[in-house]
Amino acid sequence: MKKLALVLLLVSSAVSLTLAQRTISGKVIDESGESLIGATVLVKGTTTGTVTDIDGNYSIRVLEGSNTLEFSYTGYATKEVEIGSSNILDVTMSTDIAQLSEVIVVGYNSVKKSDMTSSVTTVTGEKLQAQPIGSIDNLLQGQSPGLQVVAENGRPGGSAYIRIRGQGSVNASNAPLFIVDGIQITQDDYNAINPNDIKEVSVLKDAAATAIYGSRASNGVVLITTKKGRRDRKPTINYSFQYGQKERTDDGFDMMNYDQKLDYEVALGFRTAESADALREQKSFKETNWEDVLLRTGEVRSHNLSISGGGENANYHFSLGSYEEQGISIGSDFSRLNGRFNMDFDVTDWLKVGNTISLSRTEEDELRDRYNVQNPFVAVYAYNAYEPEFVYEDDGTLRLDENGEPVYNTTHEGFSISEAQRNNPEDAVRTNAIGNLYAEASILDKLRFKTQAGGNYRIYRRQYYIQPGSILDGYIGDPNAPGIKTDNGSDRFIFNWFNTLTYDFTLGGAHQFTAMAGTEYYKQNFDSYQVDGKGFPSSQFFTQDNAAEITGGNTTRTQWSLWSQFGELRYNYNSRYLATFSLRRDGSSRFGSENQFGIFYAGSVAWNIASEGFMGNAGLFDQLKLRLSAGTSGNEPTGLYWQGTYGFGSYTDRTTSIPNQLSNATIKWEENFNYSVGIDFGILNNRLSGSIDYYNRKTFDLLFPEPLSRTTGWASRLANIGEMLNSGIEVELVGDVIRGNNFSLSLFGNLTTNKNEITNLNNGGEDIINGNSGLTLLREGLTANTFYLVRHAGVDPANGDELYYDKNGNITNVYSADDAVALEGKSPQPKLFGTVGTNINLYGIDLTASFYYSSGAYSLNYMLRDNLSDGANVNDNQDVQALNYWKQPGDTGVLPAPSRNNNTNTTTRYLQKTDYIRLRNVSIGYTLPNALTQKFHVQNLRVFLQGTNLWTYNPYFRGDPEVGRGSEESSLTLLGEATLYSYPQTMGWTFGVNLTF
Amino acid sequence: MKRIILALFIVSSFLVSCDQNLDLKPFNALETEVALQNPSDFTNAIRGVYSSMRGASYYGGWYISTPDILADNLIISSEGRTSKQSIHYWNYSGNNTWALLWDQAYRTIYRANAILENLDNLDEGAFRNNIEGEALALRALSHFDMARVYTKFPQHGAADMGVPYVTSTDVTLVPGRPSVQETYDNILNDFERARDIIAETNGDGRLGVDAVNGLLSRVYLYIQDYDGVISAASAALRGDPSVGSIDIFPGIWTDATNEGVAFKIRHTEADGTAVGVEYSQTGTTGVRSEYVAAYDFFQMYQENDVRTSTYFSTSLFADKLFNHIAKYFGRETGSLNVVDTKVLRWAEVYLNRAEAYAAKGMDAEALADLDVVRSQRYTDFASGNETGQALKDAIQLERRLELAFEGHRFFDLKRQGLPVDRSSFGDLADGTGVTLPAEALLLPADDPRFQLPLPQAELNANPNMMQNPGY
Repeated sequence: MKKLALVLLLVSSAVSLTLAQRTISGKVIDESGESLIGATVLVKGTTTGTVTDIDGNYSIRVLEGSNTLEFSYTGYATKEVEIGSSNILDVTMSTDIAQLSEVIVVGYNSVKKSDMTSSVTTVTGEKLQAQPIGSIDNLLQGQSPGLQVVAENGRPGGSAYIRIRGQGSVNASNAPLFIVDGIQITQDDYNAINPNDIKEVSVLKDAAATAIYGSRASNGVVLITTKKGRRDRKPTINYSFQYGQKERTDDGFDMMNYDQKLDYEVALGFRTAESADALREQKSFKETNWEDVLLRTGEVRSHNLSISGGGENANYHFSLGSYEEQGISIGSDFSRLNGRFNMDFDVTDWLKVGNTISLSRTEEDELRDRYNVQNPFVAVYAYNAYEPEFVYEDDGTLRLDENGEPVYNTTHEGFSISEAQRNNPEDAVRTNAIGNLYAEASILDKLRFKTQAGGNYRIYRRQYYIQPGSILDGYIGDPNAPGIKTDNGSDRFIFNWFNTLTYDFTLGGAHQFTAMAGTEYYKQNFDSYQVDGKGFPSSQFFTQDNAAEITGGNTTRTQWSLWSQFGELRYNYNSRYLATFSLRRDGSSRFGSENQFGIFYAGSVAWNIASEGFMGNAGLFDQLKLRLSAGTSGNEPTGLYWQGTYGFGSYTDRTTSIPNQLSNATIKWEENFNYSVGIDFGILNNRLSGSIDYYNRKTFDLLFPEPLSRTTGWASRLANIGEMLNSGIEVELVGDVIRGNNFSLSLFGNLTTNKNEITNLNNGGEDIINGNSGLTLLREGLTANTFYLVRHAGVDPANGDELYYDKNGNITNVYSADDAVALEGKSPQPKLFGTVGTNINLYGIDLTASFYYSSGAYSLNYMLRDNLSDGANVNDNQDVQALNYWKQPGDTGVLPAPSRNNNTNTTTRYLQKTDYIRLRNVSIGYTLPNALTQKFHVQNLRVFLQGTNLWTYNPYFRGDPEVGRGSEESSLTLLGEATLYSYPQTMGWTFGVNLTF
Repeated sequence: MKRIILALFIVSSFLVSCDQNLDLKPFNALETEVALQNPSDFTNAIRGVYSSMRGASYYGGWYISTPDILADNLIISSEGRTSKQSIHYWNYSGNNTWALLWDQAYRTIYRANAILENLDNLDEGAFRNNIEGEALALRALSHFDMARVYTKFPQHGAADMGVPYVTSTDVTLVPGRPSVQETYDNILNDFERARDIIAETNGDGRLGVDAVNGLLSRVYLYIQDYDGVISAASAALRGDPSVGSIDIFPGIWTDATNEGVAFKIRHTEADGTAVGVEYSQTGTTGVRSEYVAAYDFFQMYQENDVRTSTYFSTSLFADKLFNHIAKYFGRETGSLNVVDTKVLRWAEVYLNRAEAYAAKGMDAEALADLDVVRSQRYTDFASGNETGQALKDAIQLERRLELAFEGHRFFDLKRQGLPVDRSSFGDLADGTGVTLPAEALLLPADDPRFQLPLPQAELNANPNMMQNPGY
């Protein structure tokens, strides 16, 4: 058919030979500089046309008087270019998000976007590549409505919290299922994926899209498809390089200087005036800016090289990548090496085989994420300006040890983190092999079979070395056997194998059906080991064969498995009426025999109104589609085993057996019932396009560790505790304000609102208070994890006491934990978030800016509590605002009278709104003119400068408002609940070059 | 042909059933239903009860320091990490209390109850009796250890709120608070039944009949049942055990000897439970204490008292001289601060009996018991031959000196209805340095803060639970 069309085109162009004409030639490339083969070039208003050749070149004869060429290519915006005086016309085509004929991956199949019935957002790989971020999950921020992405913290290579359409679970995982080329990956693997290898990410949001993944899909599914080569294409070589720098974002605090802190200590009776004076005399050599000592400028460097192409029967994509990031404090570096080889090969005309294989190795230094000065981000606040990094003699000379090295000052905290960062190294290496092998056969004309075996193998190796002679070794080591080393690691293999059988058939001419049935088996094996040793001859020797004594060790093993059957039926009538039904039955080893199997289903319909006859050809709408969907999906408990068990340990070096898990035999799957309604539209020649969705997501049988009376000997027990509802609206809009060849400007934006509510608690409506932090609760009618705190009521002007509201609203100066109340409307969940931005192209210069915004969430600012501690933490440095305290009766607008006897009571005083607008990403690039670069046999050359988090509007929160995790080691890991010195968020810039041969 | 093979392959791949691969069991645990079947299961499980007591808020740490931190033997070091400062200043609340003792003691009780509920799997006889006796004694001890922290003693309010006495493994129970009297009745019942059936000895780190009697004498002393003290202590002391002779006394604290120790919770090098961190950490810059000896208390130790050099270490830290607590610095070899927790020593049992005798006016017997201890603590010892009030004072003094930093002082004051009256000296060895804030100098005798607040987490989870008054 295509060939026929081509012949017709050629014939028609031959017919017009008799008229006055000239030949226009040029090259058609895409945004990344790859030439487009087979792009259609048409003289506007005529049937004269041609297609580009294997190098993207075309040549077309046009009649005098024809002044416009029209370029079109599947997946790209059709482009009209005026013919000028030149006979050379090169065209860069840009991908069109509103373009409807592109095929996207959904579940086990691919579907044309115009035939989609469910809510899926796709993100092209190009959008994920410019930012200097090591982990793919973090790159998805702002890329899709309904998708909330918050970095756990700013750690290089660190992961993110991802919520699709709100928080769907209170305790079981809230993270979506991540699938790379059909293989499930876990959060630990996210930073092992090279963003440059990604062709496209599909975010599956509603049940209709996710039900096919059954029990793992209730939090949505993120499908990542990696790049493949194109057939009949000579090799395209692409090289890119990036370099950038990073620093901490504004932390919001202004810590006391040398003299301020001494004055404060004297005022509180913590230090005598004489002692303060003595220290003041030493200011010239003791004064220390701990930010300068402990923080540094981070750096990012990355290189990527890829070759892709294909012949008649095969296509390939080969890539190598390296990414190195130096953290903003010593001991937090991350680096990655990647290799990938993807290929597809037609063995016969009915059998196709292929693979995607990626190998990666990541290395990470790990800083402690804990609540003491073993974490430099605590120390930077706790250490006082009068405490130097090294010990000085009273005359100002540096004290040296026997080796002539300066002696680290352990400060009032008894610990020097700068020494520990050098002498207590902790690093981890992960080697990942993620890949699949598949075979696809056409058994009959319309019957296809696909089998795919995938593996995700990871070796993890970590070492933590408390070097002999280090300060920490002095505290916790054995003086007779100095040095402590821990080596631990694991070996994890995820295997999955799925088979699908697909049959296409047509009834009555226009009713097209696609039926698919499949099975999938999934198994994870996890083995770990640990070896501890002590007594090392020197820091140079760190392997355990040097240890004087192996003091401990263990190995562990766990497994879990999933066995599923699934089916799907798609119906399509002229691409006008569409419907999809899917069903999946999952059996999981994580459940007792009563509830081992779960059945999940979904149905969805769509109506392409724009293709109805009554819309006519001159209608306002270029596209208009209405979608309806409903269905279920499930969520598993995080624990791998359901059995009540006794574990083993030791006492007096003999075996103990101890009850270590209560039976969960009666636990059921957590289940979501979702429905949503959506409209996709495009008007004014698709100049304005977008979609609006309403979603309603009800979670049944919420899994939650229900707090038990601790008199039972247990803190909690996993239970199905109730029901929760998330509902909201998602809007996405793209507007091409100016569409020109040399100047284009588009605006884009998305917005998500979410309302979360606990609708039922099975315990008869009793509050369930978060047993871990005690900061939040679950109550019927309120948002999940609504804050539950004692209310601060200001300061008594008469005596400087901190005042509180008791349960009944009366003011008291006695703090009682029992006076905590639920603070309706205040939870860590945002009510509104999204992105706005613009893309501008001007004569080869491209500018992109995107802002991320979030509103309605609250977070408990523990760092503020510590830095304004009313004297409780007088030995640690304090914020200068702490100086503004009550001094005499009548003082108002002040902090409570400080005293060492005060407690740092947690109240609403530290609960702050985290609303913000942040310039998440801004980049400016320049693509050199093709004519110039071709002289050097370069197809495309682009340079760019990119900035991350350069500007933030943050009216309420002291510190960075993008709160992810409070503190890992304090188990403060509920998204946005509190800040407690986790690795700070960073800002920075990057310079990059992209080169295509 | 090829397509037929393929078709067969397809059909078979769909028919393969992987259901059986869904029944996976943990590799490191036994299912509860089969965990307590034969004698060795019970022996492992009873050791598991003791191991629960190694919890950091129980005998693995807090219990050897907190009752002293609450009292007048210690002062917080200005060079420490301000650990437990709010406990030291009696400035606690439900969110900031000795919370995990509650969890760890009840966890111990659960483990004991699980054994008791499965006893029928054992044949009648000595083995079963001994297991039952140990489980009952540990259940009683755990309840007692909570009762003295969170509740009044019966003599001050028998009808006030005690701690729930849990005898079941039903995790759905949400008990309210029984009376103090009920709590103590149950403690005594369990201890007495245990005494009757437990074996003579169960080896290092476990209870035998003498240790149970010794603990019983402590309970009786706390509730001022002096006849009970005398009878239990006498039973415990039937073999005239040594209190640790003066020559080897320091070896008790490095675990070089078990002499004088009636019951200890063992912390092996592999366990790595660094109980001494409660008091201090020793690093390249010296001993960094959390708490140091209160100046006035330190002065009570005499030159010729072996405990002066055993219990204390005076050294510089941050260029300041402190009297550090040296009792838990650790063994001769091995990791610092790792040393067994001495839960009961014979010296205490002698002093328990001495106090009971003195209370009953049996001064001669009381003096004899007191001198058993004193004679092994002072070089060139000569008895004071005290009588009457002087004898009572001498017993209390010796008790304070002997049992310092082992988790007794706060309870000894509390049970006698005495205030905690601290001196206003500073934290340094010479009595200068940073002093306590005024609010932290006196805890009046009847102050509700003698009963620590229950952890808020319990109140949050259990609607029947009541907080102590005053919080």
